[in-house]
Amino acid sequence: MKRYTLRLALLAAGLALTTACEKNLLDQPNPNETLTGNYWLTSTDALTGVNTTYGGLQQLGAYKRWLSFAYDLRDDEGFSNSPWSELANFTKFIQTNYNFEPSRDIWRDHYRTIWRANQVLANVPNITMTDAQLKQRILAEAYFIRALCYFNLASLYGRVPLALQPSDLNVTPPQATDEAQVWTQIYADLQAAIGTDAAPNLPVSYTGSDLGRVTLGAARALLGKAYMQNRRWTDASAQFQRVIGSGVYSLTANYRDNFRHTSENNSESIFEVQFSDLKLAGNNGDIAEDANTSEGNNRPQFFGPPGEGLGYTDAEVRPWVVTEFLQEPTTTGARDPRLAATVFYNRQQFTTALPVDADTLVYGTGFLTRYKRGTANSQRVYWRKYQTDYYRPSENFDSPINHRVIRYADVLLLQAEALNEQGQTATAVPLINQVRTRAGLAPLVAGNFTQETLRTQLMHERVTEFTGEGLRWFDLRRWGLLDNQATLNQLSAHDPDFTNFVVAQNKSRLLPLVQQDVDLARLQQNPGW
Amino acid sequence: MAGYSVQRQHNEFTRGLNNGYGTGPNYNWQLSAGSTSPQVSGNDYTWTKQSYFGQLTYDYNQRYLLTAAIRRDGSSRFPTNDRWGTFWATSLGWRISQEEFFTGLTDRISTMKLRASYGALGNDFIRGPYGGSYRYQPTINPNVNYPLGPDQNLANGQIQTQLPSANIAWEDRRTINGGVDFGFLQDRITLSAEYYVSQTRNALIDPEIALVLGSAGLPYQRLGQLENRGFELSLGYNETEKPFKYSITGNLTTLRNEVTRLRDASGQPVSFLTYSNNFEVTRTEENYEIGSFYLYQFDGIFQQGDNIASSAQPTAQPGDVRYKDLNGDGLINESDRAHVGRVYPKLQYGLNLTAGYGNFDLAAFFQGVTGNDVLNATRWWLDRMDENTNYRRDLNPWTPQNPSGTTPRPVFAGASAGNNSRLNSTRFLESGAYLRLRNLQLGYNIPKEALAWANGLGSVRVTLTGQNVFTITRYKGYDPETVGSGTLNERSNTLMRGVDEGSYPNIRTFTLGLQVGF
Repeated sequence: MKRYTLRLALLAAGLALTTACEKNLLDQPNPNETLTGNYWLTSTDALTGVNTTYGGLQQLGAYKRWLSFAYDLRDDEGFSNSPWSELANFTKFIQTNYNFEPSRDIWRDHYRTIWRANQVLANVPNITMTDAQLKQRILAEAYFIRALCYFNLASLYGRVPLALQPSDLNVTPPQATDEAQVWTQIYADLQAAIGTDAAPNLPVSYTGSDLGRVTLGAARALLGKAYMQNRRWTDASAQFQRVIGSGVYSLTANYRDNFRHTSENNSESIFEVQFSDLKLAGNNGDIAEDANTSEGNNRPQFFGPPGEGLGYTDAEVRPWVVTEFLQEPTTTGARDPRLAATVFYNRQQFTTALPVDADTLVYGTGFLTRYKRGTANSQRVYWRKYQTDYYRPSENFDSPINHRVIRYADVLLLQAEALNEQGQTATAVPLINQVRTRAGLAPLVAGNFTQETLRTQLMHERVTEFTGEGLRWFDLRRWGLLDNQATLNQLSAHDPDFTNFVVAQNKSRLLPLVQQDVDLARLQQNPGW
Repeated sequence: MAGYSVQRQHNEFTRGLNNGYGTGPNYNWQLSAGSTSPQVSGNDYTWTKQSYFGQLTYDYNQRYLLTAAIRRDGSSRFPTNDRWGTFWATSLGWRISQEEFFTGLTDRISTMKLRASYGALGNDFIRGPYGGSYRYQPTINPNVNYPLGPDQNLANGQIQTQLPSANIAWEDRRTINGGVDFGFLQDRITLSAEYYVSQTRNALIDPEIALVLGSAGLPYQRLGQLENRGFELSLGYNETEKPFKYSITGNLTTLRNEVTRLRDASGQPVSFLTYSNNFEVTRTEENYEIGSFYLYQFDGIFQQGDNIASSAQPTAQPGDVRYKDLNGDGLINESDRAHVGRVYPKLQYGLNLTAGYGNFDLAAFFQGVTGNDVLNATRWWLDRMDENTNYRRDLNPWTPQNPSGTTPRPVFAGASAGNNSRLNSTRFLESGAYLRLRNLQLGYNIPKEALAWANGLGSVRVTLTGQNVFTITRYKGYDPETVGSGTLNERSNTLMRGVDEGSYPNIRTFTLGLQVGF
């Protein structure tokens, strides 16, 4: 017997055809966000666009957290006893995992910022803007921030990829042929930011709601600093001379005004990354940026001394730094006031004839009351610069203190160094004296110094003025102290972490390039790693 | 049969958040009663899908079986020109035992069937913001803000922060198989064998991309082609005629997974990397399994008297882990990692037993896998030796008096040597083989006669059931079966199939049941 079962069915005639109506059904534009094609049309777009490049500097891998570890702890002033072994090792030139979080975050967040700057630089020129000056300024701001990112990247990683166009998934930015090429790009970006003498692209200062943006002085100062790192003394001098001669800047009367949120963007400030406790977000700085992202700085939470609510103490200070301050009294016979502004320390631990200074409380409690005599904690030196103890009893992840990237005292001492290196020792001394006088120290007498002794004096001055501000690492590089074993032995005497420093192939001078990008962007790893 | 379907999903979401409502005991539930600055978030998204489909079934005298199906799907998740995909499937069967020429054999061979099928299905499911609805559209992040001015008021910032998934389209999943089914002695013995090849083409994956691109999100790409192939065999014996009824069914499945193509748009081979505890743990590349382990090679422990100075780890101390210097350059670094182990089991097997006698019945189901490895990332936290607050109770570290060959010496948290023992090495790679009694049930039907006194009571059955009764395994983590478990199609799940980050284990349960019929 035969049985047929036939169930059939035909596809509707329109199987292969999609009518206009159906196409509309599948057209679902994102109603929540602007399409990139509908952006970069007005001067408001240009302005909100460039604002994000500043936001990039607030990220975890930038000035919010990890740059402080990479600069202040890898140098010989700071170190880490973190129980997070990998983190402590990172500051001791030991790194086996080339994707290690802080190193990866620094890399990632700088390139995120660079992408933003590249979008501004590629799109803003095409916007019709009535205010031509504003357009120039916005482009100059983006050039400056891109240069600042490469300034950090070149100093930490050396030969990095140069991303100069908006990112495209199918285009991997090429790795620089050498570190010098990165520096050349930095000079070019900063010169583009500065413009010409007749028509500078940036204003010398801002008022009102624009306070905190990149100024002409900031671009010149950063260009000078870039030249300094490459020992181009004359070029650096020329830039610093313009900054000093502009008359815009002066040292604040109180040294501590440079590390407080109550005196930000002051007369000494040349460029700051703005932080605010407007959004309390806790330890979630890693998430994608949205309206609720923290605008605060994490550093005090990580660098703070031990104690309930104070800090993780992932960072502390080598004792030689304290000794450096105690070498010389002020004109009134007191201790250098910058010491107590820089560290919390046990006054009885250091032998000196200088009188005790009053301001040594640790978040309102005496050092030896908090850390009992004879305990291990009483023998440690803790960071105070950028801590918030001057106005509150405990720390959190959202410090409102701006990070001072460039301040006038740095320009003065760098100019002194550049002049001294050009043989103009006597001209250099008065610049140093401005910084010393503010601290209450007696001025140096120009006749007492040769080029060589002023060089040594400057090394001392920079420790007392800048410890903990992320500048020492640049100093060590510039002074060539990382280039040979003899000077490294001196650094090891200050900081035993330097016994791990490998001079050969300049290995430890640079971090290993992040392995993820060695693999995915096909980079050539730094020598020795 | 023919059909047309339209799906549309629309989501709206609004949230207001505030904190600091005091310490009670009375709280004001008005949202604005909180003392912190309120946070609001919300969005609105829609995705749509449109399909035409048709199916044809043909059965000639229960001898020749044919089915064919075709469908055309459109999805709003894909760019305009790549929205539509056509997928078809067909299967053929031939019941040889129904043929007239076979009639003489049916005493012995009761069933004989040959079958083959081919089928393709599309997948448009991707994750991401707004339910993955708009991933192909490049958009501007509206809140990348920065405090400016003397009062540090937030200045609005807007810019593109994520690369779009520009080139996505339907993922194509195809399976082809052929098999044979036999039944012997009135189907008391059944045998079925099948060979299968399943391919995923244009796989939609969102791998890590180079950090230099600066994207805050990972775009989906249509890069991969991967293949599963293997053999399935099932053999059963069923005795239903005698008072003691029983059946035994065993099955075996072999599996070979391979990424057959993984290239970017320019044809360059690419790799997908995944991380656990900040270490790269798997690397997916052409010619390897998906989610293949990529690790340093554990090579024992340095013992006292070893010539450490001339090894590739000259600064190591006795008790530290020795790693294989794979490229022989006298250094242990990232280039000394390699593909190792096997993510997917070579063999999965199961055994189903049932037995019944009188009013008693018993059922047991055994299940197991063999030939795969698991990276025990949970043990990394306990055995990394520089973590002085968490360690296993039975930790037996190397000491000069106890020269372990497997567990390194303990070091202080923060010590330089902490780097040595915490590398993502094969020290944490374990066999994932197990045999488990997944299910055991003993039942008893109370005889009708015994219930005669109770009016209206039809039947009473008592059962004792155990699930996951025992597991035989050498795996040290919670459960070798739930490794890599996660939501379907999640990137971490697909590319980290063999990594155990502490997945929730299966639970062992015993149930006593009473079933009463009235």
